[in-house]
Amino acid sequence: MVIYVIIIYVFVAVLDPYGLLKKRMKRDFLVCSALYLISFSLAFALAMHWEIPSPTPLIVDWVKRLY
Amino acid sequence: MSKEIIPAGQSISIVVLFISGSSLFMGTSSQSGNGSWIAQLLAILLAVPLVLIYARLHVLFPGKDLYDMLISVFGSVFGRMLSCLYIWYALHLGALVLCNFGEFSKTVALTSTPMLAPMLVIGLLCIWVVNAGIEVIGRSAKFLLLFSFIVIVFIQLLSVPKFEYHHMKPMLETGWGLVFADTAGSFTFPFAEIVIFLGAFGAMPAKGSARRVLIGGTLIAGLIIIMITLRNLLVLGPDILSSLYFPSYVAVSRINIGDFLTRIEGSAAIVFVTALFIKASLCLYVTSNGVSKVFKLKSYRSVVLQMGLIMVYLSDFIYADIMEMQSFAYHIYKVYALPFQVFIPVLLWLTAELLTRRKGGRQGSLQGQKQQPE
Repeated sequence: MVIYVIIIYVFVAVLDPYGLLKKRMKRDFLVCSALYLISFSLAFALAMHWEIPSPTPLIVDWVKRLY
Repeated sequence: MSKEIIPAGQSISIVVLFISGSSLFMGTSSQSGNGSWIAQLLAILLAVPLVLIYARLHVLFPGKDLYDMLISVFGSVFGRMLSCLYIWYALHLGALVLCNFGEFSKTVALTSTPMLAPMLVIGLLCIWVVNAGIEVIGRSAKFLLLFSFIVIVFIQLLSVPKFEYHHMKPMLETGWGLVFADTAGSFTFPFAEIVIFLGAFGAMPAKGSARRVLIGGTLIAGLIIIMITLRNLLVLGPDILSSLYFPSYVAVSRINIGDFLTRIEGSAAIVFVTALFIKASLCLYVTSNGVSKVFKLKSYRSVVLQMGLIMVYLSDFIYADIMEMQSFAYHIYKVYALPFQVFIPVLLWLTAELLTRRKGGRQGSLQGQKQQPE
């Protein structure tokens, strides 16, 4: 699964951030690259079955403090 | 690139499908038993003034979306901070919608398939349609609304033989307290969620009537939701209704016309999918648009793919299980969503009105000073 994720993300890198760089949209490229790294990290963690902390308990805790 | 414009008819279709999206299969908050339809009515009445405030924002800032409004009213720094909050809200809401669909697939339709698979398929479809532009979402919504409406009315008619009117009695058995609790729940989920549409106000014609679009869309969606709530209540009864995760699916599965037309819930589920597709697409559009405004990008399309993928992944780990999803949707969400749906937009509206009047007053006094020497 991890191998598939890496291969897919290589294609995504060529299509998305690199495509923006070729169009000389530098700012778009930088933001897209940052999001690409987040997206890849999440996909990799999911493929490895690592536990990713959910924001829901944090929101629930805040709301219960307000109540 | 030319500016994208969505006509009023298509905007209304988006609003209707957006509001009724999750409620079509999740149902609405039903602690009040057979009084839940009264709670829906009250929620619509509460939503109307809020929607009028949203429409007023379009009059004050024609051709601008929520992020432009926040930046122009609250300044570059604070406006961008509030924009970041809305980006999170839109991303989170999109992930919640996809998660609802994932849980629905896992629980009733594709029980052995990993939850990520159906969510990824819908997510990729949303990425595709948002990349194609808001006009494509508008055109899709117009067609899909017509289709959904026909299916909903058809199912409603087929359900009539299964209606058991004694479920409506005794009226307000649980008291007004729970009806008001349900009203608060239904107000935030789904009616006031339409605040997300403010992020697409830039695509509405500058002189278009946002009031007509938002009021019309909210009332039509409200009518659909009340119809579905009443159907579920009459077919299942208040006790079963409150114990189910997807009451509409179960209510439709009870349809049996002469032992010939049965088990049509699978076909009816297509309406749920179409509505949530529009809802998730609009959330993705608003998220990407927000990122492009905050970081001053040339186009929101630059980040659609990455934001869409992040939304899909987020929907996979956002809830531990279906019980947490249900509890969040009906108990936590009504408090969590309130600042995004009510407090910030009302603050924005009041500040914008104040600034507009002050500007108008200053222009008036300047004109007066110019006229005096004559």
